[in-house]
Amino acid sequence: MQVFTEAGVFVRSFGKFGEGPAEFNSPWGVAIDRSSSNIVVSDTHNHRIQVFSEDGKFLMAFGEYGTARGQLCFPHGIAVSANGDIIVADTFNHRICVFSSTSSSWEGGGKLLKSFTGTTHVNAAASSMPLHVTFSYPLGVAVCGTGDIVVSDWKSSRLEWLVQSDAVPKMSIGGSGRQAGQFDGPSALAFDDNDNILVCDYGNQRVQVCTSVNLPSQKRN
Amino acid sequence: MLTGDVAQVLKKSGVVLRACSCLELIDSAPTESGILFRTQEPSGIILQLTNPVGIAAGSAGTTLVSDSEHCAILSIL
Repeated sequence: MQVFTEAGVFVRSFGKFGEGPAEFNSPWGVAIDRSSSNIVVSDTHNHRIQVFSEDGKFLMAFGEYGTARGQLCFPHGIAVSANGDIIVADTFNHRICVFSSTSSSWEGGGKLLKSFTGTTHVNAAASSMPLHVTFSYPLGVAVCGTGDIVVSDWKSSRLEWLVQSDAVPKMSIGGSGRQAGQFDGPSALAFDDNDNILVCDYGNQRVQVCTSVNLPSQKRN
Repeated sequence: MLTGDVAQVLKKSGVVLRACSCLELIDSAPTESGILFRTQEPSGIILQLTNPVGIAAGSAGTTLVSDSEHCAILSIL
């Protein structure tokens, strides 16, 4: 892991290749727990999540290879909610997992709180029409200011917007294509300060910025 | 900031590139080879975003994007 200032000045690095604590094999996702400034990393090929202090001190790791509850298979995207929960795109298990962090003490951290692979729900708040969500290699996750989760699904080239409290699908954005609002293998996600969604549209070699009302507000790059 | 010679920096694998406001979108349409950027200073340097895999919101409305092909991190207004 390398840390830089936003001006691109190198600050520090930590970790090395391997399987032990503070060692990595193809780390993919990084997120900051804003309540503690801890650094949370998806250590993809070690099938685990590692947590470090702001200065790079190893704090904890959780997860192991497998398909059972609490196990991971090539986790990629990662995000930390305002209450410290760690949301992981468990990519090759085709599911999203939410783990506790207990960022104040880390006791009990890494406990699986819930996971969801995609189900059909009725979103009563917006429509009586059922929305069906099935993840197929989800890569990116992001949490907006309201706590809702957005997932980038690689295979379907869609973004799935989920209400965090019960993982109810709120909307589905995109689909495969090259037009504005369509994607070709969306990878990482992030929210900006206005809760617009920033999307790495990998196969289309661009970044798209989508509003929360399902329309690209502008297209960057 | 590494704004002086974008093309030269990009040739060095593993170098993190800070481009910030010197990058400007000149063609929003996707092309086979990627999306084109143009630097404001010095002029004439073209940067292609290729295989973006990581993204984050920066300060002052910027977007930080990792370009896996160029081993670079771009800051874009």
